[in-house]
Amino acid sequence: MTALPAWMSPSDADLPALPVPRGRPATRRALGALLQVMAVLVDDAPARRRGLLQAIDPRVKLPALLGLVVLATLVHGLPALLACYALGVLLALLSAVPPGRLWGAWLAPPLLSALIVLPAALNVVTPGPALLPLGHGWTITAPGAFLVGRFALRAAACMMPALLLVATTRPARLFGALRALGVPATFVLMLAMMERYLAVLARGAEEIHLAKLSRSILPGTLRQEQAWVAAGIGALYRRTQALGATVTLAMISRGYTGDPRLPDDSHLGWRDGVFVAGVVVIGVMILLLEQRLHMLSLT
Amino acid sequence: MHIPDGYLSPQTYVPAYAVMLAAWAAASAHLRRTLRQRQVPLLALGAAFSFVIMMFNVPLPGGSGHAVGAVLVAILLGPWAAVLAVSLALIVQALVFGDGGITAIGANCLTMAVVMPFTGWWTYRLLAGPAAPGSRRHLLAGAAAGYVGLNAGALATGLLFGIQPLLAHDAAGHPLYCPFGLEIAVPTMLGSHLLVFGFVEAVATGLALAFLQRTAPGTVPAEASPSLWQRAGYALLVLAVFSPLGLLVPMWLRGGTAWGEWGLDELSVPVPAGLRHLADSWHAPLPDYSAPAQTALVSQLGWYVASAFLGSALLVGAVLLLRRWLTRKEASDDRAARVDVPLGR
Repeated sequence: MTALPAWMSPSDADLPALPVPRGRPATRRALGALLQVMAVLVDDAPARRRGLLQAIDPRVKLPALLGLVVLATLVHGLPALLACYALGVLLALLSAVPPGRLWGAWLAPPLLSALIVLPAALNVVTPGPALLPLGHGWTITAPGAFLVGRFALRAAACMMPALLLVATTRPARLFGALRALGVPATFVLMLAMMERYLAVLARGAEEIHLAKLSRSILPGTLRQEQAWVAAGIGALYRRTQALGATVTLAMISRGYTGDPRLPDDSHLGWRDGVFVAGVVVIGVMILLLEQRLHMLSLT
Repeated sequence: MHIPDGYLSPQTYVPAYAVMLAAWAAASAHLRRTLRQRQVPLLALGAAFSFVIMMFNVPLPGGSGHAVGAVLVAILLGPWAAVLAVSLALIVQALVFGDGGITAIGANCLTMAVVMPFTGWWTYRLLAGPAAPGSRRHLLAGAAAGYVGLNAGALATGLLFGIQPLLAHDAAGHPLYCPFGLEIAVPTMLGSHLLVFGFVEAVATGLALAFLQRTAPGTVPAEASPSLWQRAGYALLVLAVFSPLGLLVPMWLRGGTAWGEWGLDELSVPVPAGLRHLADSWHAPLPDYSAPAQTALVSQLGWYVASAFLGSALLVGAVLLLRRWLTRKEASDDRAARVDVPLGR
């Protein structure tokens, strides 16, 4: 009868406790980010809902919403900025965009922006009459608080139309609409192809990370983990090259000669005209409000 | 480094778009010469690759961070291809994922798709030199290029943030957009990138190049050693970056300034009325290589570097225009001579 090898003896089998890595490992974090990208690329449910913005042609919607973003960067009074923000909220409600998806546009941008510029509210950055003493000679000043509030409101008013555009338009149609802004066809073709193959490469990167997770019992040393990430990037580049060559050959075999051909969109309807007119009228009203309040403040 | 909407004034984002339109046109023209139109899919896939790189988390002591990958793309595909690929990735991030502002697309592309890849690529070429691909020097050059490229991008972003209070403020002097000046914005942006994220970029760029050299040796293009003009360009770049030494060293040595260099008030002798009248006839847009009403040392240093870049760009542009005019004139003279000589005989 053969004796058990030494390494299988009970005394050697008492391994020390495995070190538990602190924090979320980089692999899981990357996997989370990749899954988020995939979810956004796959989920077009908000764009399919019945709502105001979904019914508008992207060739009209893109310049109109872009105009609202620009408007929010041009006005400086709180009432005008509040009106821009309210218009965004109204459009979101009329477009039946899920609040869960848009909460990031309603609350996160103003809160995050306010947090970033919060030090500007202190007397050391913006001197002025004290509004809230903090002790040790530090106070929140009235002009500082106004500055932070205006900055946060502007950020929210700007981000709302941008996120509405993203939430109510399928990427392929959005890129097609860029032609209406005079973007060259080759550039639009590259954007559309990139968006399509982004899912493929994201899937490839996801597989690389999943393979690592499923084969790892313990995290390696820092150097090993870094080398693994770099190898993952390198492997993905090789896959990109191979995919690029395959796609090029496939396109050529289907008659691609180098001249991009984009599908013709349908004609614009009356709804599009009314929407543009409405946005222009409201935009002009906001500008007039801004001008009027400015004149009043001068007098 | 993604700048959202509302942080930059129209005085910044409109010129940034204008610069990017020129950069995209130049990149397209360059690629049209080097790539065939049929290779559009390769570029689109390259753009998707530069997007997905940003999802990889590089472990560091005490945490992790994601790389931007613009320098790696520049080394693998060339800097002009990187301009388009990274721009496409940033546009998709803004339009599809809401990451980065739509009005700030021009500014984001300027920092991450132009400044970062070109600075990184120049650094790579300068440091790698004629060394064989896959050599230790090449890989260290790649890592250094990643570090320098990312920090150059962060510096550009800090400058864009920092000039907002100068460009747009209300009647009371309060900033209308990003409220932090150069003395806060530049150190804040550079601090985190110099200490943490620069190393993430360096590790990702250097080790990815090493992996590709080991597993697919032909993937990383071997570059010829830089030409005399390129070396001169690199030297100019280095001189521009170190130009604040001209301000710091005299300050450190308590040497004062050159006599009468900055204005008539430095002269201790009576100034003739005609000379005084002439001194007021022209007001420079950047007096003393600085913005008006800027006193903080960090701001002065930033404007010193910006002035060095601006001055060099204007001079190089003027010389290139002159050369173009002269060579065109020479060519037309040659053509005239070729026509005239046979007729004369």
